[in-house]
Amino acid sequence: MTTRLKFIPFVAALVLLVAVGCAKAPQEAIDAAKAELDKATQAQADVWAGSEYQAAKQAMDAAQAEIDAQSQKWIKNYDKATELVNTAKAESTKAADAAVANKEQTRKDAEAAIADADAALQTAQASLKAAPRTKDSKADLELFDNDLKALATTLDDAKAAQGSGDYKKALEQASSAKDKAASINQQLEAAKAKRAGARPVRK
Amino acid sequence: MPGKTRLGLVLALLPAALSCTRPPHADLEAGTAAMKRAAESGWTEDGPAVCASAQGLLLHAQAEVRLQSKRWFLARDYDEAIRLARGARADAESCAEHTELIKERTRRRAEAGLRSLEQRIAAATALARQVPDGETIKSDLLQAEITLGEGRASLERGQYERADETMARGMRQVAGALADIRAAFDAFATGPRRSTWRRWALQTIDESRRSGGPAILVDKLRRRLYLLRGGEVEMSYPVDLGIAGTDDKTQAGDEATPEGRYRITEVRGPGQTRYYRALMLDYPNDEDRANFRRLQRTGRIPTRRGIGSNIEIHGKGGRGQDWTQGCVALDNDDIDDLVPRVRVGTSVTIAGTIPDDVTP
Repeated sequence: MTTRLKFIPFVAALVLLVAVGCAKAPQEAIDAAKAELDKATQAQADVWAGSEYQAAKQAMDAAQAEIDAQSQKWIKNYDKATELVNTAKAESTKAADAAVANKEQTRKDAEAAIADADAALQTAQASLKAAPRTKDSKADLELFDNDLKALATTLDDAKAAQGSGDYKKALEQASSAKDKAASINQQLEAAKAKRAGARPVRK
Repeated sequence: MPGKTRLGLVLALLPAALSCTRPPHADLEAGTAAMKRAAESGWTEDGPAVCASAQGLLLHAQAEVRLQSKRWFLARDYDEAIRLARGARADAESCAEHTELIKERTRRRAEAGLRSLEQRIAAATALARQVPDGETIKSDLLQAEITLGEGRASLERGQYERADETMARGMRQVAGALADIRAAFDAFATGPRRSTWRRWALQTIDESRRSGGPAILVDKLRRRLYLLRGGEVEMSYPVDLGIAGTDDKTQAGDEATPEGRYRITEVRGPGQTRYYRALMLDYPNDEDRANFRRLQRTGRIPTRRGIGSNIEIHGKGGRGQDWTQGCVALDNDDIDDLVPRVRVGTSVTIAGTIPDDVTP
């Protein structure tokens, strides 16, 4: 074997080492995954799709950790990092989609709850107007009147929350106002049944 | 080694080699399912560390499987993927167990908290009814009630952490209202009429002690009627007052219960009163009339307005709120118990409150 031929394996090994060692991080895929995660963040996935958003963030963290680990090595291999980045991108897309869907569903639920609460409040207000005012019922009716006024304010708050996109708050406030208005209406109906016939005595 | 033998050896070892390179699908699926359960239970970043470990291992195992599956089939080596997937499965199942336990604990805590909030609101609302001019407090308590409803809505939707937070907000609202109630009670009990109420109470106790007979003391703030005999409390009953609550009666139609020293003028049984049984009082007394004239002279009561009458201690009470037009109302069972213990002429003292140092 000539001297030249003796060097061939060394040269080949050196070329291989340089090729592998100079492997580059999948920057394009990383940027794409980050963009998807940003999209999820903008869609408030942390609020509307908490578990999906967390999965996306974890995938991104795992990908970043793998990239960092490879970048410290002499012989770099970003194959696994690329897989992890692709997973992060897919999870981020899932989180963004879930956030949009969940937010829209809660918006619709809140809208329905506000309409229900509005109807329950109007029914209770009508019952209050129609309730007989006797000595026995006067104190109750005054309390109910105050309660219904406060409920109307709560309902206004719920509508304001709905307007500002805080659908969870709107849904909870409207549901609560609806239940309370329905309870007052029930009590008014019961009071109607117990109506006292005699005229109150002036004291 | 002959060629045939070599080929036979390779063929014999090939299935074994292939069986060793199968991807760990079962572990991955079980791990993924467990993490899904954990996510549904509301696993957060602040949750158990084992969850973060499980998620990390699962991601690496999945990536490793995908990497290996891209290789030529004889070059595939799933050993690392198998190791990662086994770890991921074990950690994920532990994570799911932990988070489900935490979720259940949070649900129970929120549920118990909301029940406790409901009870506190009810107790505070009952107290608030006794507060002079307690409209703001009642309104604050209604807000707490609305908060309670919000908490229940969260609970129904499985958002236990949020329900727990809402419950805490409601508790703070009730605590604020209770502080206001205490302040209002203190202000009332230490007001300018304190010495008058104290004197009336002492006179009534003394009169009962000297005669050995019955006397009635009504504490408007505490909504309590005490029946004394020989100066000692024989019985006590909860009462409802006029709609004006602790206000003192000054004129007809003000819906306030009068304060003063009175006597029973008549005992009415069923059929003689709209309120089951009644003890008629001699309101207005001389002091009430003098006060009424003074208020009219100073223009604080219109000249055409009367002083009022027909103040009674009667039945149909026990409602836990002030609803009469100035009378003192007891539950029917309580008035049944009270009436045989008193008689026409029994002293009845109605005070804003009875100072603690003379409370019988």
